[in-house]
Amino acid sequence: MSIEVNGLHFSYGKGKKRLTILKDVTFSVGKGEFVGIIGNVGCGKTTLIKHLNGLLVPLSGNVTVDGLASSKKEVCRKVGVLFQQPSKQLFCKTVFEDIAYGPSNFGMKGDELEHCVHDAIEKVGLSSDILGSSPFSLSGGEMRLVALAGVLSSSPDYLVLDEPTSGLSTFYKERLFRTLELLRQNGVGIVLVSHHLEDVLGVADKIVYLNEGKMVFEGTPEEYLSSLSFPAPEITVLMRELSSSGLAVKKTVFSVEDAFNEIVGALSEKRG
Amino acid sequence: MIELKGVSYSYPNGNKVLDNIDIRIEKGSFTTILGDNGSGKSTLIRHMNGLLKPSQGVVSVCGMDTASPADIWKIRQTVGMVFQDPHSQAVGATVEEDVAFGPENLALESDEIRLLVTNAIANVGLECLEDSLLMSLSGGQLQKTAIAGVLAMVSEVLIFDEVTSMLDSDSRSQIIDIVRQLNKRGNTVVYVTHHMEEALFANRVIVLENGSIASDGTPRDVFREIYASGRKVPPHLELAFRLQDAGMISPDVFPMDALSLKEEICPSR
Repeated sequence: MSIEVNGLHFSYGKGKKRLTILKDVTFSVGKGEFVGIIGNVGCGKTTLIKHLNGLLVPLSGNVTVDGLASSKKEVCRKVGVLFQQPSKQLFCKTVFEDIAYGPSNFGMKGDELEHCVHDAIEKVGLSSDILGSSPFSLSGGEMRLVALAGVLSSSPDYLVLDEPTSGLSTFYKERLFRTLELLRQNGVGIVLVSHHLEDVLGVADKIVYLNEGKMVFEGTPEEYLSSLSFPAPEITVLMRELSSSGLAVKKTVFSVEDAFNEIVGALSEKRG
Repeated sequence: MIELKGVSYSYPNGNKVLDNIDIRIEKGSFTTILGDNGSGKSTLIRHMNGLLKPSQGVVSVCGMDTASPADIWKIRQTVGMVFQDPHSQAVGATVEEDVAFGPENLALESDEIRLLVTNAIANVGLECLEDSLLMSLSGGQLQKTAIAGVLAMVSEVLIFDEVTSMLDSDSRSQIIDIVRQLNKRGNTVVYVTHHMEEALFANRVIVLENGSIASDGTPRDVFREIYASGRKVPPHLELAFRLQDAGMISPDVFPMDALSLKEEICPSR
């Protein structure tokens, strides 16, 4: 059971105005797997994820979700997508109605719907006190979590998030990642698109790196950091520089905690 | 330049967002405003060009009261603003048209408009996309267009509201460089961000918490204070502070980036 992307090509426009966005992209997302997609602005990340729930159809190649072609109606329910701008995904008068919108369209009602909405708001770590409020009266961080609750209320098997930490403070970012970790533990396959490397490297099982629409890397975070060809977090850049200067530190470290231990160990040894 | 005295603001539903704020923004300064979502940052800066009027207190720009309808046009010309969501301020069909919208409304000569637009577009590195449709741009490119739109105006004060939140690290560095250059050329800059490392370039950092000022000082003092309270600071600074506390590097250094920290840990020969 997985999302399979095989030889995906996609272009906008026709003839001379054709703009190729994705070129031969192939990767998979298993249940309970956390895949991080990284790359610079304009590299095709957003276009790629629109293929994962059938919003876009490949010009060539194919995308399947648990064996179903991504254009099938059932795929919409299997793959939930949280877009970059939560305000575009919220449209009801109250937070409750927004979160209930998906499941009620799938036929849920009454106590079951009530329970589903409360469960979703709890999953994202927000208080049910805001269910009666307008989603547009909330802060940016709360709006994003409400939009996520709206996606989770339909119990997707896979969750795709497009730059979910943009504009999020540390407090809400930590809350978001706690939610994602719980979902992963419950078997949800997660695709996180971000240009914040530290966000992705710390949580992903697998990294897909896109450059100008081409998939130029697929592998573990450790393998990604071992390559000098791709952008690296600033702590990793520091560790590489220290290593080049002769300090015996590991070059693939990207967290402050690991870097501190590496540097203290190496300096203590060097200084005797 | 801009002065807020005893400013409080509540939304019509009674939700109090700003509570008795006193801030004086000096001419030519670079002030960064940090704070969690919902801390009141966006509400605060919307008072600085009269988009919002205080429920209590006074906001003045170059001595003009933002509550005075007679002065509001002059105030908005003096204080330009780039918003978090570039879609909300896109007005033209193409990059060039969008950037030209502001100066065209200033009744300038067409040659002058052309020059302002060309320079503004070049400053954000979008020369090759000048004739592109806005709808064909990525989020980051659209953000750069919005910034160019404000650069093309002749505003003395520039306010940036989380303008890098949709940009990758390369584009972010470019935008920060542009903002720093504008400040060096004499523009007063007020820069709201979630990216703490962007606050390092300011000469003053203000931290908002629940609508009040929690910290106000130089980046060095404010970041030490934030770190001491157990909250997150930029990764290279957190590492520097921890190495200082462990006696591994000098307690006096305040590295602006990871490579400056490298020089403290292991100086180049």
